[in-house]
Amino acid sequence: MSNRLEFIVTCLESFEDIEISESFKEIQDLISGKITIAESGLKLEFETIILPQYPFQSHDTETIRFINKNLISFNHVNADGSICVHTLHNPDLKSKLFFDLDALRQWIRKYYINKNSDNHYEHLIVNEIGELHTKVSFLFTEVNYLFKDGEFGFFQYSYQARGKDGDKERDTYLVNGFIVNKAISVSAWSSFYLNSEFSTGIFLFLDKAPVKRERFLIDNWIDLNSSVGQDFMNFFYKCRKYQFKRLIEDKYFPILIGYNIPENEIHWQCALIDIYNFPSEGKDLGPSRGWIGLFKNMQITWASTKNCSYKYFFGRGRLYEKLTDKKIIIIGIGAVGSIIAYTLIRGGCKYIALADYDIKQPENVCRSEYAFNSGINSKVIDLGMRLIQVSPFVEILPYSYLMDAIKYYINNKSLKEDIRKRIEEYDLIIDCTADNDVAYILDSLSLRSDLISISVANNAKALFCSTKPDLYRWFTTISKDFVIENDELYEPLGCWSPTFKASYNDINTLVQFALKHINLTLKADKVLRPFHLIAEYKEGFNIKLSQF
Amino acid sequence: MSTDLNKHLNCVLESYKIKKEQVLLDKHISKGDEIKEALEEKYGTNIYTPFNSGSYAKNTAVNKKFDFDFMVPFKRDAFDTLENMFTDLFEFLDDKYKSTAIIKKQKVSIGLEFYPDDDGDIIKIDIVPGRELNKDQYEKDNKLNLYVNQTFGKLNAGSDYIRSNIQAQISKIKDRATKEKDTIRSIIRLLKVWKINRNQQIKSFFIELITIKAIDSKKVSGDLWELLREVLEFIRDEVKTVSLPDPGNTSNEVADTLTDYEKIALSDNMKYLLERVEENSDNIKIYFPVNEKHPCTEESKSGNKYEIKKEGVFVPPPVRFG
Repeated sequence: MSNRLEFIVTCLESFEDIEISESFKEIQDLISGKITIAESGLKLEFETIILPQYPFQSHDTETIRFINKNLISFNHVNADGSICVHTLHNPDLKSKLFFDLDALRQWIRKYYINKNSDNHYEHLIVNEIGELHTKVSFLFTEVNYLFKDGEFGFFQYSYQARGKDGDKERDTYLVNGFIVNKAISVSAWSSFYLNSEFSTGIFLFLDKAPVKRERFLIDNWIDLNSSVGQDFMNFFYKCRKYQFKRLIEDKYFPILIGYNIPENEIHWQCALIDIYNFPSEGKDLGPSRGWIGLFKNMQITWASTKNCSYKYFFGRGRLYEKLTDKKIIIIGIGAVGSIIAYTLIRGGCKYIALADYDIKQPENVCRSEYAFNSGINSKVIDLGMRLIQVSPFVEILPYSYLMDAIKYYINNKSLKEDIRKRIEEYDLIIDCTADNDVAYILDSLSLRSDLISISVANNAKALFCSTKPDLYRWFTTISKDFVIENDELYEPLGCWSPTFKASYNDINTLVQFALKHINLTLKADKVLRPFHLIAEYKEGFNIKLSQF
Repeated sequence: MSTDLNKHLNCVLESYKIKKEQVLLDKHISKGDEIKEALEEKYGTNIYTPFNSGSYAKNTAVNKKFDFDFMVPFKRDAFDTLENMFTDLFEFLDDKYKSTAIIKKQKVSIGLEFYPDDDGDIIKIDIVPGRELNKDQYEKDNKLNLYVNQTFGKLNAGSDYIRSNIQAQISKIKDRATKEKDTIRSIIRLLKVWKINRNQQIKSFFIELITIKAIDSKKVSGDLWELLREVLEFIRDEVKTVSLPDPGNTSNEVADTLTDYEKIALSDNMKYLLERVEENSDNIKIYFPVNEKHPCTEESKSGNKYEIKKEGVFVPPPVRFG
């Protein structure tokens, strides 16, 4: 017996109310046996498997398994009968074992004896098995349609990307919309994703989830027979001969099965139908009673699905609604503007226009949000594409010549009002051009929209944010004390436009600080005032915010 | 380099003296007389004599962006409703002056902004129509109802009106400003300089009343900066809850001309102003700049001691990146 096995057995034997009911063995690297645990007058037996990593976790899961397949219908039991327990980190094996067994006792009391249920909804457990060469996932979001029990029809989906998931590859698809009442009810993705080339599948909506043992999605087609009507079965049967545009792995089409879940939400599961091994058949009920369609006794091939609606996509954190719901234009997308754009998108902003005449060069990449791989490119196109890749909920509008046109026509009095109206289509204008002309012109238009101007100076040791009213005057006022004549300039060979030296870290630190201040100010329902940030390293790094 | 706060503030007051714009003032007086005559001709016996009710009348005016406010008292029977009074007056003024001025309906007044004359001067006159509260009683009680055309602080557009004794309003401010010219008048004028230069929408009447309230409440003393600081601190600390009864009608709450949101913003304005000046006395020039058109005498002699010329011509940082 190895030292580790011996030590574990000794520990288990020393715990009260724990009995080793089948001796522990070490097979390859796993140590396994059975224990019987006495709790509240009951005794339950668990096959216990201890992985080599124990007492450390692996991929956020415990490396000890307590398994009893008879308990599968209880809460927090996995499909293999293992009890889902989580305990605190403890590097000492005996202590960790003690706490894990204590967690098991807590589970027995709470879920086995008292049959407690949790307040929060937990999705059904899907057994994603099948003969697929590549794993398949469908992402769905909200549609503006209320599905009814038994409703069925076609849906559209598009291919998103192929990734790696363990040893296999995984293809991800987006649900683009449902064809209901001869019209398409589109998903709430941005137009970029909705305009992707689509394929067709079918959907079926049920009032109640197709479930077995309370928490597990059914795994055999025959289990659906009691939930669907003959209308659907006729439709389903016809699908066998329907010419689907493209098939997954050349033989599967998807069926989304939807059902209601708490808080007026619906969830979709996705099964893949093999057109060469169709899971339904006709059954002759005898003379004068005709035929009916039934599902066969066949394993269901489930794909994985994910509710990727805005609420969940940004569920882990986003900016305040007063910012995300605004129609925003960022004028000037150099280092500061591109970082702001990226942060707003990751924060959940839904509509952003980008205005810049400039071309992205390789030397722009190191301190902005551009990438090298897209080559020399229009900044608004390049950044727009990158932003769309981040969020499926943002509409991006690129303007290469907006400010050029405004400057060209601004002195034409008859067009000034048109220019003002055009810019006022946006709720928030963020000027990051560091162009004094732009600040002046925007200020002079007396825009109803919110207007802020952000720039950095002094080797990114200072950031200025000016706001209306008097944006231009504020900007010049609060920045004039920070004119450092000897800014360390970077003047590459042949460069006609020198810039100061500052890294992505230097600039981004200040920009993020500024955006946090802006977001919190809006959240507090306060007026956004002109401010500057001064960064300095004096016995540690500090950023000082001064509002005016 | 630090700024002598008192010297600077005195210089500001000097540079904003109304008499420094005598020509523009005369043009306003002349245009005002013309409008008065036109109104008397149009409305005849339906109005009492229009009178000047703005900061010029209250002795608290400054010489930049100044305008004239004319109160036009209508008789009780002149119009069925206050709205009709407001609309009729607007239509008359619009018809008469539309070729020479921009005419706008404002919160309780009709604004006339005349196109620049040959000298480039712009005359701005606000006409405030009011209707006597009780028939034939105006000359005894001076009480008028105003029409609220646009949402005004907590006052709803169209649905409400202010009963006000404008003469009492004027005399209260004018009496205190004239008797206490080194305190109340100076502080009111400085706050107006701040308001004009920082583009604040706050009513002058609010500034006047809260200044008087601050000085009466805090029994302030000291030099000009100390007085100003005390008033700014009072506004910072009290504006969210302060009551400012209208001297023309004590049941009328002038504090309600600002929303709670605007009051918080005003309190913050004072907070950050005080912080920035405390941090660096030069920052006083951000909030209370000298009128660059009329630098004070000492300023002119001292070779731009207060950097007045720079305040009008901005020099943005040469190295600034976005």
